[in-house]
Amino acid sequence: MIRVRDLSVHRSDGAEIVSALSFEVPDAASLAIIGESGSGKSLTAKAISGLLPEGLSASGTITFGDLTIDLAAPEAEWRGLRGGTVALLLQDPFTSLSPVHRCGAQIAASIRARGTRLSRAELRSAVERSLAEVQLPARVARQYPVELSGGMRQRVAIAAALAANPALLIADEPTTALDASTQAELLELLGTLQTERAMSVLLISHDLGLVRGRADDVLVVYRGRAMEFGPAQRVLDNPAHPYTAGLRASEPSAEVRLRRIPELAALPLRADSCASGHTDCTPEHPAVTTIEPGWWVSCTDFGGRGLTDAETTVVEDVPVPEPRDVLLRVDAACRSFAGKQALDGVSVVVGRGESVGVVGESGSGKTTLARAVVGLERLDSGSIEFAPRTPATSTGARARRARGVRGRDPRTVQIVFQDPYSSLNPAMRVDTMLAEALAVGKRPASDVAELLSAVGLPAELAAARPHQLSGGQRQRVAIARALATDPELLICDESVSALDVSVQAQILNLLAELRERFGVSILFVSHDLAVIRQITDRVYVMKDGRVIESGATSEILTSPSHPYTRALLRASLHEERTA
Amino acid sequence: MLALRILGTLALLIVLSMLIFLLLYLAPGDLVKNLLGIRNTSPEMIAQVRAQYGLDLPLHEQYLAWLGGVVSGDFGTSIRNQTPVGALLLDRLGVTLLLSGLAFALAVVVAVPLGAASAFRQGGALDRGISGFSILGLSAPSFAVGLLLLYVFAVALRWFPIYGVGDGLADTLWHLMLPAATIAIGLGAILVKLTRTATLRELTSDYVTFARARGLTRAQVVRLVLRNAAIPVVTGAGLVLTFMVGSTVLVETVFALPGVGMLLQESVLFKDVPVVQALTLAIAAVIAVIALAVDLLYLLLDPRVRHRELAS
Amino acid sequence: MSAALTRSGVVAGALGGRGRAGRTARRWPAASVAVSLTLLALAVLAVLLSPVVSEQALAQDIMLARLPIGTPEHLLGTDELGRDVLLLSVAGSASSLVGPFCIALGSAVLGLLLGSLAGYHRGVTDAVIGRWSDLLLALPVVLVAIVVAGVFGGGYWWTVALLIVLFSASDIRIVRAAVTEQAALPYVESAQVLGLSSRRIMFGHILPNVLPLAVTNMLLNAAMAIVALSSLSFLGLGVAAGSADWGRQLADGRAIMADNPAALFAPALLIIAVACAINVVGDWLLPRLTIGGRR
Repeated sequence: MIRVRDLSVHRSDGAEIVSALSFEVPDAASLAIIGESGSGKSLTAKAISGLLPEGLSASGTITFGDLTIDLAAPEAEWRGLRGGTVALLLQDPFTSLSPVHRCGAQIAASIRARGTRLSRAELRSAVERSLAEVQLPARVARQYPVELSGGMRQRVAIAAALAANPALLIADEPTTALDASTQAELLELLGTLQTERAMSVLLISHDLGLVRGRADDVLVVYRGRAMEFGPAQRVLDNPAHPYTAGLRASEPSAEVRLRRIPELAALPLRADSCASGHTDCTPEHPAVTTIEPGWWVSCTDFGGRGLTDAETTVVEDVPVPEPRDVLLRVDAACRSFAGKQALDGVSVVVGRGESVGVVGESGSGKTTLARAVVGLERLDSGSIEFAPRTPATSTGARARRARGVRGRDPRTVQIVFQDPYSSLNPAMRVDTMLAEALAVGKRPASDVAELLSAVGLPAELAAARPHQLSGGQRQRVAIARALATDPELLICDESVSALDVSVQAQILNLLAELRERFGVSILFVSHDLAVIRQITDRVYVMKDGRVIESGATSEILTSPSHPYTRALLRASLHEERTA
Repeated sequence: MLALRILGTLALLIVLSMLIFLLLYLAPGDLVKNLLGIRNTSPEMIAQVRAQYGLDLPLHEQYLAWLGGVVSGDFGTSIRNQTPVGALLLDRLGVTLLLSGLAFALAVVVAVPLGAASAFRQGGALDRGISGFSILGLSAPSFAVGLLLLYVFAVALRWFPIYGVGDGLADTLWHLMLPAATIAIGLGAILVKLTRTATLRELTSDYVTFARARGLTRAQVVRLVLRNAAIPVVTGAGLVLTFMVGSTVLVETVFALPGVGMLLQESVLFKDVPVVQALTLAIAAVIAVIALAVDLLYLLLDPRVRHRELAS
Repeated sequence: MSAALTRSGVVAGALGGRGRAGRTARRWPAASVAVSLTLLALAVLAVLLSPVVSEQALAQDIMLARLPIGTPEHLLGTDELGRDVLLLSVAGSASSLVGPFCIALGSAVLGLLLGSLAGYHRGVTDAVIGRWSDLLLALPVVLVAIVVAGVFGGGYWWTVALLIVLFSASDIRIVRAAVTEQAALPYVESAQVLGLSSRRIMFGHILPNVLPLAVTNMLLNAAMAIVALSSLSFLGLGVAAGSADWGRQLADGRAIMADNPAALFAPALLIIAVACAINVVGDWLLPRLTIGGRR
């Protein structure tokens, strides 16, 4: 049994980022720590491997059998423990291996670090065994990381981490940087290795669904505090803490469409008094209520709220006909980059007022399609036509100046990108940005306040600069900017993929609201079937630059006819269904 | 890709040779007068000199004739002392090669380990000391440093000779010590900064965290970092060789060393056009070859670049 | 060409010592920043004073030649022509500092203009500007300056103009790289989709984000220009013999260093101190200029 007691992480100015976490990982079992960004889950992983970045310090203890380690131990002590006792697997396989060393050498380094003296031949066969364990061919030993795919690199990293034979393997978001299908394979591999080696695994993730069926226990953290700990399956089925329940509810489902996705309201951490009547209940150390042995929740004054009608109303699946009143028609679009066909005869139609999805894995060409529609990418062949309500008739200089990139009218089509951090100019104030966009739509700058309230932002934020805003707020500003010209079509290119689930739910609801209110059509590009299910009426499934299937979202996502769509759906539903 | 680079280098050298030729052709002052000096000149003599130097030919023919000469190793004749430029150059080359080789070795041997050590102990006393030194070395012009060293170690302390190159290898090295140190200070400052920056960048990267996270020993981690940092350091060090050219000219002047730099400075002041042309082109060629070699080294050191180049 | 680009970035990064958002920039203690700022203020004062003192400073008196340091009325002694070293150093500040300032400013403006055009428009504009800067960077600045200034002669301001052109090559590269990086970001693409003019995007959107880099690079260039210009005047290029200039003083002081080392030390230390101070202030300024910082 591995026990962590009173793990806290402090900044050098004294601020507490993680407060007194305590949990156990039974031998040969797995624990998942779940939390949104800023919950301190990654810092927890770093703290129990003695790898906190400079400026942060840990306190508390971790116990392996009869060995107890002070988390504040100096580097020299940790160095002896990492590898054989605890090893940490990082999130990004593209940066976690040294780019100039062969994979075999990097695995061999872990073996050598244990101090066992091996001959060259013994070392080589040990490396080969390591590679075989993660289901990689022996030739990988001679390859450099750059020659491997992301999934293979993460396998090499796992082999390197396990070569030192750790008692506890910490995997920090090990699959977040990978495609859904690769994700599933890797998690399965991790599960197999855990059982075979009878080691303990600590899985860190932001994704509740991912954990289902892949961890024995689960610890839910929020702002550095433990909310709930218990057997994974039962906690996920019947969350006892309102935060866990909210987190679960705000994850969209690929199976049913809700009128409104439940939003997780910001959780007020208890201030001074505890209304629930616990004694010894302080904000730093909230009282803990045990539900049954091995399952407890911490007290907060967060009463939770029931789900509203809209949040439980399942939208009836109605057949969606091909649109008559066509706003956008993409016909046989082709585009290749460096010999690779990104778009290979793609035809897509968006009707006026429709919400249409494009779904596919990375490399499917979906983003190229979105970019081509707004004019950021040219086509090699094929056509993109708009039928705007008020077609531009004048060809004077004034009209030309209002033209967007590659002749698109900025009042017809606008786009919202994925990354909320780089999609706003860091040097510009929010009001300047919006006023500029309003001017394009021939609207007065005084409409800034109206625009802000439409996307649910307080008027005070008008004077803010992007770095003062949270990710969700930035994405709202980006949406406001796109709506400033009153466009008829809004392109969303993975617009919620970089957000936490609670924020994702808010943005998806906002988009649905805006669509209803302004009658704007939406072309939503995403890799996430559940998101597509919630926000679109019709969907196109893309693979290798082609549309392989299209139709009503409800039909395609319940009874797909193409095997690829079926595989995608299986990978996505795995999280929800495995029980 | 590599062939393209070589072609690019050749094109660059040809354009440079045109510019160098044109520049000096356009130089003010009458070349013929310069050649004949203060003697009384008759029109016949002028015509003879013009014919001798090919000055009566059209510009492009003059250029081609000159270029043809350069390619076949004939760099023309010095106006100042009427000897072939090639011989003059060879005569002066030894000192310069020895000086710059010594300076480069000195700078690399001292600066690279210091830069790496400073990065491994970021913020420590050593790091602060080295930072101070490197900003000093970057800010101080080589001739000023040279003169200060000359005063302190040659005039005041009399440890080193004031000027000249001495006889025999040991004596020559002793004579070249101060000038080499002068160049090495500027060069070393750049190298320290380069190494420190490169090492720091590697130290904060994910693969170092992962190496520590799976229990690699400190020595293993250091080796991992140094091997990765070597890429920018080695390529950067090759390129800073070009920075050496400017300071060599100045340092040779300060210490009155009869090297190529001194030759260039004298020829410029005397407006000895053929020598200046030849020297400038030769230096440009050396720098271009270094840049090419650095690219090759890059290919050798970095599997990512190799992968990309092979893929394309 | 990718390797070539990377390595110019490597060297520029190392010489600037300013990784993204100054992550690897040195943090100088407050005291050294204060000293540097004071030094620069004094240097500006000296430049302002130099027209006032120059007549007196240039007055020659062979009878007073080679007075040693510490002589009353001539604290730093006199040079070979009997000129007061202290006064001469104050008078020489104008020639030694105003030119480098103009070089740094001029090359920054050229760099911002051409670098922005090349980085934003790419294509032919980029190719032409890129080859132009390749050509300028093919030879060391000091070498080209020696050859051109030496063969063509030309006065002080011609030399300054020449150095502006030569220095601008590295500015163009740095600005171009920064603009290319910015131009690929979604905020620029959003502006394009909004149909804003390229001039508006280049100078209204991208420029404010590139400016901090350009300003710190300008400071770095100012320090390098002091070194370059004084090197030329040390060789007797760009300034007339006998005029007040630190590089010139060094060349003259060399002959009498045994009699009055201050004739050598004063200008040498002045050049080094001012260049150092500018570098320190540059390192100190970069994190303060960067807006909010990126993620």
